Amino acid sequence: MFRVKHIFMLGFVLLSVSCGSRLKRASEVSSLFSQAPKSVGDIATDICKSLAARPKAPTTKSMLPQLAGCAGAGLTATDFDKISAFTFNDLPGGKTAADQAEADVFSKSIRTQIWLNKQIPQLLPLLSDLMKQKDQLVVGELKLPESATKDLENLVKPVIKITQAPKFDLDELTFSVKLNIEITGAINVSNDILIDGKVFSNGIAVTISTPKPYPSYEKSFLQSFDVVFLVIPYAKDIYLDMGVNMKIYNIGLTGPLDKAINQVFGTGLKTMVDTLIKVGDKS
Amino acid sequence: MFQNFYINFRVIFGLALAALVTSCSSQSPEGVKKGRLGGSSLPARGALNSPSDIDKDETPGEPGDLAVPDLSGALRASFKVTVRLDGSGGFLGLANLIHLEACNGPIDIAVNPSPEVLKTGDISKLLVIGASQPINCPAIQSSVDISKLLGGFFAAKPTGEGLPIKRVGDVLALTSLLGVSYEPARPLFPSLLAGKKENLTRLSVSNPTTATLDGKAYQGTFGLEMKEYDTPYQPPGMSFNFPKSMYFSTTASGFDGLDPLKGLIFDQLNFRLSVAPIAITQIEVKGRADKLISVIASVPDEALSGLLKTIAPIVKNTVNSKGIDNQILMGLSKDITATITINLTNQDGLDQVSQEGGRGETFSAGAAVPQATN
Repeated sequence: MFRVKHIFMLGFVLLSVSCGSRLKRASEVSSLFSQAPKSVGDIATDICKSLAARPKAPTTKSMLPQLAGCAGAGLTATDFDKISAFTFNDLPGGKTAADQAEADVFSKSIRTQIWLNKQIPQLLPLLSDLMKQKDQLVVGELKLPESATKDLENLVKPVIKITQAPKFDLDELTFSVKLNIEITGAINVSNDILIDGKVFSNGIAVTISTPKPYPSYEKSFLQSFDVVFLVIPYAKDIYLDMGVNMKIYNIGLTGPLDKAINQVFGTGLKTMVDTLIKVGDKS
Repeated sequence: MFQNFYINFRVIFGLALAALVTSCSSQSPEGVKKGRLGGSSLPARGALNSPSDIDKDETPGEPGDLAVPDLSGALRASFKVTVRLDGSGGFLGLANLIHLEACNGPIDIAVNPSPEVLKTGDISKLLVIGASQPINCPAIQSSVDISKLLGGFFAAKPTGEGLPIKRVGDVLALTSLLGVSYEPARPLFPSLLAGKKENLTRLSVSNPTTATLDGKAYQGTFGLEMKEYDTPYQPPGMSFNFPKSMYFSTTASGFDGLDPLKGLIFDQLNFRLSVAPIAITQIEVKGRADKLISVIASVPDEALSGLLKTIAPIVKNTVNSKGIDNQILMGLSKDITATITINLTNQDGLDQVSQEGGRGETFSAGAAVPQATN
């Protein structure tokens, strides 16, 4: 029942065990560093360079440069406590929906930046709760929470399976898990999903990607996607940065999809994070 | 995992004041005079002059003969308490990401180093902590009420035998405290007045020690090192500049298994103080969280909230558990160093004290002060 929540919790906690408020002034963070403090943008750039240079997962070697580069981190970040939904903006440099109206595959790249308004120790109860449920993170189907499926039950039926249980490499400081998602109904989605993460000295990076071969149009509405997710403790807060590039088979709905995707991602991610934080607070 | 420091705060502070004042405990009464007062007529605001030549043999403290001015109620000061967490390593290196000031808050303390207190050894009466001042600690989802925490935990019952301090060379050392005896005596404080300046400046001791509690012996090492001597110091946020202060560090390693509440085992316990005028300007406590688990486990539930309330039962079950949840939490606590810094922010009477370095010279026998009569 709660395994999906737990796997999200695992990812979230591993992502978020750190600290940060909006654009931080140097004076707010000077005590943290013996030398002149790096900006959160500098830290994000360092992490992303490391990711790009890695020969194995997590790596951004094959991802879009504007997704892998993490440029402008922190510049548009908003406070989590003040928003009702995450704001996903289109990444610069991509083609517009109109440009892709005739293409077989519609490509869309979006990004959000958030100050979580939390510090690492505040997430430890969440970690504790999560680890108590660790036995549920085994190969097999994840039971989706009713709240996630209730509104969609007449339209689609989602099934998520863990195809490789979470692995932790304590030498490399990396972790990974493999999932498969099948959605049938109004739309069909069938994708394998690789989640890989690494804990760096100043932040955590997670990549989420769909391995080749990509599913055909008949099997999946969604051809592929790449996600780069950064968690950076900074100035008594936690900075979250999530960039997504997705490729969707063009069924003539590029215009409406183009507008809807940002909103769907923004609302969905906010709901997920709200849920996790409430779980942590109750622990 | 952090309240342990607060639990022991009064003990540390009390010992510091006791040691500061009893630096002259091995002297004859006439060996200590209220010195030049630096502009103040109050003893507590002044300075203690030192004798020039004092027997350096090991001298057990004789509380009945303490030549201590009655400063009861005279030292009223405000401090700012800051809790800082710094991690290193841990499960998947997660502790590397923990570098933060968890919380800070003010605390008022009146110190009563009266002869009576020193004679009875009732350290708990040395300090009167101000009205309840919970320190909000959002990072650990708790507020720390020092008065509450101290209420049931500080139980240094008066022995009637005085403070268990004796002088060993240039060091004042504890022979026992809170039921734990130390052999040889545990270095606690430089012997400020009895020691010569040249000796105090380079003071550095490291003693393998046996601590005994309830018949069980624990092995470890205590150290004491003078880091700065006779240097000016201006506490953060204060305009007052203490012309001559010293900074020294006591260290403890080993003593695995010894109840840290009773043993007061910290990786580091650093003091920055001034004798002219008398003031403790900074205390810094550093310790690994996991070494102090038994203290957390014994904190009453009503004194806990938020994260600490969550962790306490886990910690209590940790010893016999191999669960990954506990391993991770324990791993994180093991790899987190908590630093409690207590900085002086105000002390009554300082506005009447000269800040000129040449006045109130008191620290050592080598200082340029009038010789005491022997």
